Amino acid sequence: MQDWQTIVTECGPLVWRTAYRLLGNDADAADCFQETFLAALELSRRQPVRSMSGLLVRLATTRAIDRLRQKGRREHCQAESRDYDETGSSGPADEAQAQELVGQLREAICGLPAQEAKVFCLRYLSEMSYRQIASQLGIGINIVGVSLYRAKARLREALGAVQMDKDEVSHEET
Amino acid sequence: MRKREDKLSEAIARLKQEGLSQELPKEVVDETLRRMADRGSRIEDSGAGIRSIRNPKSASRNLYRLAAAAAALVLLGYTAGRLTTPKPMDLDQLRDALTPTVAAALEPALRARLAEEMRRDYQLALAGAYVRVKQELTEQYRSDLNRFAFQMLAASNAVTNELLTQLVQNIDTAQTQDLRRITRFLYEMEMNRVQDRTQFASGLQTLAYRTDAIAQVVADARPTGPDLPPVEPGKTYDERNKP
Repeated sequence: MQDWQTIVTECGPLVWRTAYRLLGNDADAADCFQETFLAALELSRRQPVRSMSGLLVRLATTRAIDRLRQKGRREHCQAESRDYDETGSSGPADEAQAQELVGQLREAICGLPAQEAKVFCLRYLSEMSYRQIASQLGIGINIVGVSLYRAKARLREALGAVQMDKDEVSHEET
Repeated sequence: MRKREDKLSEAIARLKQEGLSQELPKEVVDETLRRMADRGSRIEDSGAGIRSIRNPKSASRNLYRLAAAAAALVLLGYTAGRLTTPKPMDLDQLRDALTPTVAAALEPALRARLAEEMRRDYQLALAGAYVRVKQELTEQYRSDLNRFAFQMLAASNAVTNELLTQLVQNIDTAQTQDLRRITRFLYEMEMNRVQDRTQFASGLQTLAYRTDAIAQVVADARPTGPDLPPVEPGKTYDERNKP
């Protein structure tokens, strides 16, 4: 019997940050938050859970990636309409570039295969170790490494391709 | 490649920064807990349970109800048991009725069991006796073997000593006989030598006599002359050769 009120209070911020990072707006993050805890409730009823925080992060990442895929290449209006003071950057131009870069990365993650996207997010956004990722996803450590390598290669390619497209557009305009 | 790597790292860092500045809204937590409570109550109705997010008052009320129901059930069972208990039977009658049947039913089994136990005991005893006899025979065999070995060794030593004594005696006898034979041969050789010497001496004397006789004959037949020394007759060779 688990005290879910305590679990939600303690692990809620972590789940929220995980969801918000990938989704970039409050509405989607809230939906993802609720779906994550409901899925954890169902899962804990069927089988014992060793690491509740790891399970929640994994579920939040999976739900967020699914939601991101459903949204497709839509713009994250709410994230872009934030005040520029929040990140403490040097100015509006830098902030706009950063938001654009983040949007490109989200789109690139959206284009990754499911397992590679999960492994990448758990490793670089949730900062899990290879062993933790392998335990949470039920795969081998070698597969984690391979998936991570491929994900990074695809993301580098995607970000580079986007940059090249922009350079071509600006060159044609000039 | 380096530029792409820097861009990916920068994008990851920016993305991580995005989540850090966001606070979890209270209403999201409340809504989540409400939905989990609804889901939990549905689970409770279907047999499983999450009680920790339910209302504590309703939980204690249910507990009281459950305790009262359990107490009523216990009382009902006790009463029904008392009412439906049969009268106690007559034990003597029951014993008399059951004794022949039980005895008839148990006797073959007891006999078989007794026979089985006796057979097992005999087997155990025989096995123990066999082992004991085997050990005793083995020990006796070893002791007899050692005794015979000592006797054989002693007898062989005596025979060997006797044979050696005989050998030494034979060697002594042979040496004595050889010594006697050698002595006799030496004596014979000495006697032969003395006899040869005597014969040689007599031969020499004979030769000397004959030489003197020849010399006399030659002297008698020698021509006479003024310058020749006269031959003295009647002198022997030894006498003539004396200085």
